[in-house]
Amino acid sequence: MIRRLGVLTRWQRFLLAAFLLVGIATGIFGARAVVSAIYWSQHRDDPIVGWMTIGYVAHSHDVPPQVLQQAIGLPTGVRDRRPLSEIAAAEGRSLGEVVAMLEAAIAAERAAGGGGAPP
Amino acid sequence: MTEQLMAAVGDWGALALAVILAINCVGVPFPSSLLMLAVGSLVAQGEMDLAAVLAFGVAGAVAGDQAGYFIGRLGGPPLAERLARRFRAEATLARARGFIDRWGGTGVFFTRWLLSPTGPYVNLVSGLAPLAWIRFTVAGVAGEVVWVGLYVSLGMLFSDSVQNLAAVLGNLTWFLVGLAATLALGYALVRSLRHHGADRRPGAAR
Repeated sequence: MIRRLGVLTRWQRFLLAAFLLVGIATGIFGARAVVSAIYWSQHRDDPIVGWMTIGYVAHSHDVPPQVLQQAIGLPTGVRDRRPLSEIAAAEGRSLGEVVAMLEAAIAAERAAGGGGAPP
Repeated sequence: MTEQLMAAVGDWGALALAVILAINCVGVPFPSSLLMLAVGSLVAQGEMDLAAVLAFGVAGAVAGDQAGYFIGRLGGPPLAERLARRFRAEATLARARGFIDRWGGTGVFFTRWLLSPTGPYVNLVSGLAPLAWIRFTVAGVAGEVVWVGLYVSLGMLFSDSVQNLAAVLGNLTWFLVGLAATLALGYALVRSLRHHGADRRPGAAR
């Protein structure tokens, strides 16, 4: 195999190496696409991350936004368009803390029978 | 990064989307797919206006494409010719130009939305070749309408799971980019083996 590679020109060896590398990367992305699609089909709820607003988390998890605003000590009834990371910074908490508080509030709301389907 | 972009859209609305997509189309790798999906979700919840989102989104993306094209066009052709002379690759440059002239419009269209990460480079190469401006623009506008329309519609349709959707679409897009690159490299390799032969000049550099 190695000896047969020796008959290729330098350009052809470069093409072959690039073809194999890019082919492997393509396979990895294809596999990741399948895995992320399977994950989505099994976890209907979006994971809560920093760019999301209170309104989006409420919509995504099918709970009233007031419940979430109460949970992190924000005034209810006003539309807050700030992302969670900004809210966390303004409240002097870490994003992880805010996410944990929201998740607890969502779980409690669902346990009380007010929310939508569990994950 | 998505946090700051979402904050900007929250503060400035569709105008922020236009500016972000313009910068993205010049080549700054913003997470614009996720942003457009999230904007689609906001539209579905009645917090943003669909017509404004589409109009500003397409206008911004097209403006970014034009900037890339003219950067390539103004700085490019003399530079390309100098490099071609230096590396004695005039024939290669002529072949590339013929290829772009023939397939440029199709390429510009599909690299707007299906293979979107390659868009900014295609803008530069289109200006460098150069691909006729009117063809670049017609294909570019059509492609950006599909790009913005598709992602915003998907965001509206799956308005409660844009994070999961973005993960699937992101991986799928890179899979398609990789597939296109793999096929192109495989084609180049087979062609080179046929034309030059693997046996005639063992070990010779091109």
